[in-house]
Amino acid sequence: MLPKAALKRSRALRRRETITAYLFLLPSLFFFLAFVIVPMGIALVTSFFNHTMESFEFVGLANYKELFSDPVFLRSLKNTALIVLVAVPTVTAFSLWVASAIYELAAGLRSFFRIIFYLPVVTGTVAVTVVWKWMFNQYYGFFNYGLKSLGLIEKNISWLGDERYAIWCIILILFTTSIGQPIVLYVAALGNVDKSLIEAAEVDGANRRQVFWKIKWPSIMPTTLYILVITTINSFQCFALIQLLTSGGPNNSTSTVMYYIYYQVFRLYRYGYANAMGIILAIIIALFSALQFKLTKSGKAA
Amino acid sequence: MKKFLALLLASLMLFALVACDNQKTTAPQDDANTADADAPADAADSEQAAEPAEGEATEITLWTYPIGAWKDSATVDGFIAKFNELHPEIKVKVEYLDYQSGDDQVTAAIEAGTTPDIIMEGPERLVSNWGAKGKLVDLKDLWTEEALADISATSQAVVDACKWSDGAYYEYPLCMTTHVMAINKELFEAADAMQYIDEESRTWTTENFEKALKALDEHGVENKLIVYCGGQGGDQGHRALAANLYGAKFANPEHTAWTMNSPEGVKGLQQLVDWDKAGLIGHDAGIVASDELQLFANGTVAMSICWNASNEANYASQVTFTPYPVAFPTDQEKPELAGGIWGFGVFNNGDEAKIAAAKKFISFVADDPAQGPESVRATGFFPVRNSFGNVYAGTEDEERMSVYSTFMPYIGDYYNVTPGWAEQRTAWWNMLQKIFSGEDVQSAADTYVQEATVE
Amino acid sequence: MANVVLKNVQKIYPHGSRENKKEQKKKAKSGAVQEQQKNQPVVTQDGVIAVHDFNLEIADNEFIVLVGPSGCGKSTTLRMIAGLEEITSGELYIDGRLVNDVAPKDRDIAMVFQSYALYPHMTVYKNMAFGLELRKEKPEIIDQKVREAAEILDITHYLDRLPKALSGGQRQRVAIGRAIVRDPKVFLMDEPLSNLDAKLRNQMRAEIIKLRQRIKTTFVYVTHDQTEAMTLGDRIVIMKDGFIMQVGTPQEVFDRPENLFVAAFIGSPQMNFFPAELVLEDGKYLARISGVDFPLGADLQSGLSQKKVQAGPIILGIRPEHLTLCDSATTEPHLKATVEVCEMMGSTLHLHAKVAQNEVVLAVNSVDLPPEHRYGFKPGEEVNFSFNGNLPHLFGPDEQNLIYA
Repeated sequence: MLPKAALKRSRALRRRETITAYLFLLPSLFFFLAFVIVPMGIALVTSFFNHTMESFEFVGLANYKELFSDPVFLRSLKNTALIVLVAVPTVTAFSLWVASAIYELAAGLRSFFRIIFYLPVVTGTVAVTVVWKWMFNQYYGFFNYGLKSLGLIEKNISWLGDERYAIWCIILILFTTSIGQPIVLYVAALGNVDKSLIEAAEVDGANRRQVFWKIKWPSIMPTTLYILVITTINSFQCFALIQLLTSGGPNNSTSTVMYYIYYQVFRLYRYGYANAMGIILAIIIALFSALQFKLTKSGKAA
Repeated sequence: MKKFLALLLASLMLFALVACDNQKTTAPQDDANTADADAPADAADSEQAAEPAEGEATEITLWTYPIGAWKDSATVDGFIAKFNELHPEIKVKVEYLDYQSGDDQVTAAIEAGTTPDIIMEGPERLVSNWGAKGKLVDLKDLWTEEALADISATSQAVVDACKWSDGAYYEYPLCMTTHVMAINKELFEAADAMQYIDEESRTWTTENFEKALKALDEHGVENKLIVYCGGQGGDQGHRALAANLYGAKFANPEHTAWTMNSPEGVKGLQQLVDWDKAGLIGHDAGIVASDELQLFANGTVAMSICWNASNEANYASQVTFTPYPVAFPTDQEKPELAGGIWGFGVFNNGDEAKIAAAKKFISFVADDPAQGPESVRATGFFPVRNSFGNVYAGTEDEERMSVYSTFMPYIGDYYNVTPGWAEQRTAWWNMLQKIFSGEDVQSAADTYVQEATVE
Repeated sequence: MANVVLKNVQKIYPHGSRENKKEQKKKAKSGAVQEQQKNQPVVTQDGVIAVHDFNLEIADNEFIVLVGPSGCGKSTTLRMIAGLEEITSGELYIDGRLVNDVAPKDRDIAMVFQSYALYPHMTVYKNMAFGLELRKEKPEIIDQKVREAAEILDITHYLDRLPKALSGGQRQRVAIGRAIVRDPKVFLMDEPLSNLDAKLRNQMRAEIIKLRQRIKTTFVYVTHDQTEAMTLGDRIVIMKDGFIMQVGTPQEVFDRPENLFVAAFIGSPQMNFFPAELVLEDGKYLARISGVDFPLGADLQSGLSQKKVQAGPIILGIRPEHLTLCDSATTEPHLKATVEVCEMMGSTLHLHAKVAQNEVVLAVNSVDLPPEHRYGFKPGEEVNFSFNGNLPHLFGPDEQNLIYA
C-alpha cells in the first residue's frame, strides 16, 4: 500500500507522460485525420447523394444500385481483378527469385542490381509512360521493330490499340515499377536469416533447394505478407499509367475502377456516383488484405 | 548544433504549410463606382478612348488554354501592359493551362471555390458545360447591338454557339476557324492523285477521294490515312470525316439530340470500315490526334484529318514537304466543316467589382479597334468580327492565312453545344474502336447515341 | 560410431575475403597477431591462418573435447569436420573415408549449435523429424525414432510445442534430440552449454555424461570452459592461436602440462608462476625463488638429470592447493607473502597474496587453518608458505616443460 502522496505523484507523472505522448502524436494525427479520415467520411456520406456540379440531393442507395448494373463498372471490376491477380503473384515470385540470386553477392554488385531494379520506382510515372509509349508505338516502336527483325511477326501490332493486348501492356509496365521495393525488402530479409539455422539444415541433410523452401521461406514469411499486401493495394490503385496511355480503352479493356472513378468525376462530374465506387473499391481492398493476412498467418501455429 | 537544425527543419515545415494556402488573393471590397458595367450600349470604340482610372485597385485572374500564341506569357503580358495603360488599377494575373490537365484543374477549382475570373476557351466548355451548370456570368452587356451585328455578319453559327438554351450569353467570342484535312502534296503529285482535288475550292467528292486512296495505294504508300481513336483528343477530325462522306448531320438543328445513327451517318461509318478492311485507310486505337499529327509531320502517313492554321504554324519547322489543306470529302454540294470558336467567359465568384473588371478586360482585348485584331492574330485564327476584315493583310502570314480563309464559307453547324457533349465524346471514340474491330455499325451507332443522350 | 582422423589439416582465410576480415578482428582482440608461435607467423601473405597443421586421431566412441580461449581455432576445426568450412590443406577421414569434399549431409554427422538453431516455425516433433524426412524415411520409423530420442531426453510432453515456448535448457535438449534421432557416426557439439546459466549448465553437463553412456557414438565437443573439458572428455585437446598445445586425458594434462599455457589453462584456481633460477649444486637440482633455495623432489631430480637440463632461469609453476602454510619460524625453505584478498569458499579458503612483485594464490582447506586464522586472514597480514619438492612444474624460458615436453 503506497502512501497517498506517492500514489498521487505517480498518477500525475503518468498523466504528464500521456499528455506528452499525445502532443507528439498530434501533428501526424492531425494530418491523418484531415487527409485520410475526414475525406473517407465525406466520401461515404456523399455516396448516398446525387452530388454533381449542380446538385446535391439525397438518393439513398440509388448510386450503389446503379453501380451493379453499369456494364462499364463491371468491366472495370473485371479488369482490376485481372491486373491484381496477375501482377501480385508474378511480382512476388519474380522479386523473390531475383533477391535470392543477388543477396549473397559482394556488397557492391548487390547494390548495383538493387539500383537497377529500383530505378523504375523512383522515375516519375510520366517519364516512364512516355518511354513505354514510344516502345509500344505501332509504327516506329521498339517492340514491333524487334519482333519484325526476329521474323516473329509480319505486320505491326497495335499494342495499345488492340483490346487483346492493351491490358497486358499495362500489366507489364506496372510489373516493372512494382518489383523494386519487394526486391530490396527480400534481399534484406534473406540476409537476416539466422546463419546457424541454414547450417543446421545443411547438416540435417537439406540440399540448397530444400534449405530455401523449408528454412528461408518460412523465416521471411512476414516480409512476404507485407509485400503481398502492398503490391495488391498498389495494383488496385493503378491509375496514372492508364490515364496517360489508353484512357481506359480500347473498348474499356483497360478501364479499372480507379480510372472509371476519375472519369466519372472529371468528365461527367458525377461526384456522388464516383464516391460510391470508391467505397466499394475500399471494401474490396480491405477484404482482400484481410484474406491475405488469414492465409499467410494460418501457415504458422497460433 | 543539433537543436538549431531541428528548429530550422520544424520552421521550414511550418512555413510550407502556411505558404500553400496563399491562393486566395485578398482584394479589398470595392464599391460601385469602379464598376463600369452599366456603361451605355453605344459604339464600343468610344468606350475605352479616354476613361481615366477610377476607384480602388482590383486584381483579376485569367486562365487560358493554349490557343495559338496565347500560351506564351510574353504575348499575353504585352496585352495586359496595353490594357493597364488605360486601366492601371486593374491587375491581371494569368495562369496557363494545357489540354491534358486543364479541364481537371477547372473542375477542381469549381469544387474548391477557387475559380478564376476570366476563362478563355470555346463554347463546348463555356456554354454547354460550365455556363449550363450556372457557374458563369451572363455576358449580355458585352453583346451590344453593334457587337451582335458585327459577329453575325461573319457567321450566325458563332452567335448561336455562345448562347445557352436559357437565353444567356455565357461566352464572348474572339476568334474562330474551321478544322480541315491536310495532304502531303508531293506524295499526292507523285501518285498522280492531285487530279482528284478541286484545287480552286479545295474540296473533293467522296468518289474522287476513294480514287485518290487507290492511287496512293498503287503508288505503294503504306499509310494513307489513320483514323485515330485512342481517346477523345482531336475527335473533330473523324467526326467531320464520317459525317461529310454522305452528308450526315451530327446533331439535329435544335441541338437537342445526336444523330449519327441516321442512314447517312451509318453509311459513312460503314464506308470507313470497308476502306479499312481493304487497306485503303487504317485505324489505330492506340494513338490520338497529337500522335497522328506527329506521324503526318514525319511523312509516315499521307494525310492528316486534324489540321488547322495553328497546327500548320506549329509543325512548319518539322515538315519536309508541303502540307496542303483541303476540306473533307463529301457527296453533297459543299462540305460542312467543324468549327472552332474561342472566346472568354466570366466565372461568378460573387465579387461584383471583379466581374466588372473582367468585363472591361474582355471588351478591351476583343473589341478595341487596335487591340482586337492584335489579339486575333495572336491566336493564329480568324476574327469573329466582320469589321476587323483581313487581320493578316500586310503580314508575313497573309498568304498562308488566305488559304485558310477559303474554308470559312464551309463552316457547319456548331453542334458542340448539344447537351451530353462530354458523354458523346467518350461514346464516339469507343464506338469507332468497336466498329473497326468488327461490330455491326448500325447497332454500334445506336448504342453510341443512347450513351450520348442525357436527360 | 566411427573414428575421425585429421592429417595436417590447415585452414587459411585468404586476404580480401569476408572471413579473413572477421578472423583478423578476432586475432587482434586476442593479441595473437603480435605473437609468434614456434616461429610460425599467424598472418602470412596468403591470409590469416586460423588452424595450423592439425593432426589428431579420434578413436571410435571416444569423447574428444577441443578447448581453448576465444579465437584459438577450436570452432573452426569442428566446422571443418562438419563440412561447414572448407579445408584449405590436409586430409580429413571419417571412418576411413576421405571426406574433404563431401557435403555435410553426406558425412553422416550431426551437430548441436551454440544457439541451438531450432527451426522456429516447426514444432519440436517436426524439428527432430526434419533430418529423417529429408532422407525420405517411412513415417512410422520417423515417429519411432523421434519418440525414442524424446524419451531419452525427457522432452516427450514438449513434442507439440514451438521452440519459442521452451526455456533455454529445454531447447538445448531438443537440439540434442534432433541430433540423436539421426543416429550419426560422429556427434559434433559447438559450445552447447555456453548460453545457459550456471546451475543449468551443471545439470546439462550431467545429462550429457548420462547421454554418453546410453549412446555409443564418437563425440567431438568444443568449449572454452576447462571444467566442462575436464569432466566430459576422454581426451582433451587444448588449442591456442590455431595450434594444438597438448592432447591428453584430463588427468594427464592436469598432472603433466607440457607447456606454460596448458599449465595455466587447466586447473582452478590458476597455477601460480614464479620466476626462478634452476641451480645445479652437488649434482642436485634446486629452484631459487626470491633468494630462497627450494630443493626439488626425487621424481623431478631424475627427470631433470635424464634430460641433462642446464642451470639457468626458469619459471616455476605450483598449484594453489599444493602450497602449504607454515610458521614463520620454520627452518624449511619458505616464502613470505602479504595478504591482499581472502576468499572464504566454505570448505576452502583462497588467499590472494603478494610475494615481492609476484601474485600468488593459496587454496587452503579450512580444517588445516591454524586456530587464530579460523575465520580467515586480514589484508596486510603476513603469511608464510612452502611446498613439497615433488609438486612444482618447471618451465624453461621457451615455456616448455623441462621434463614432460
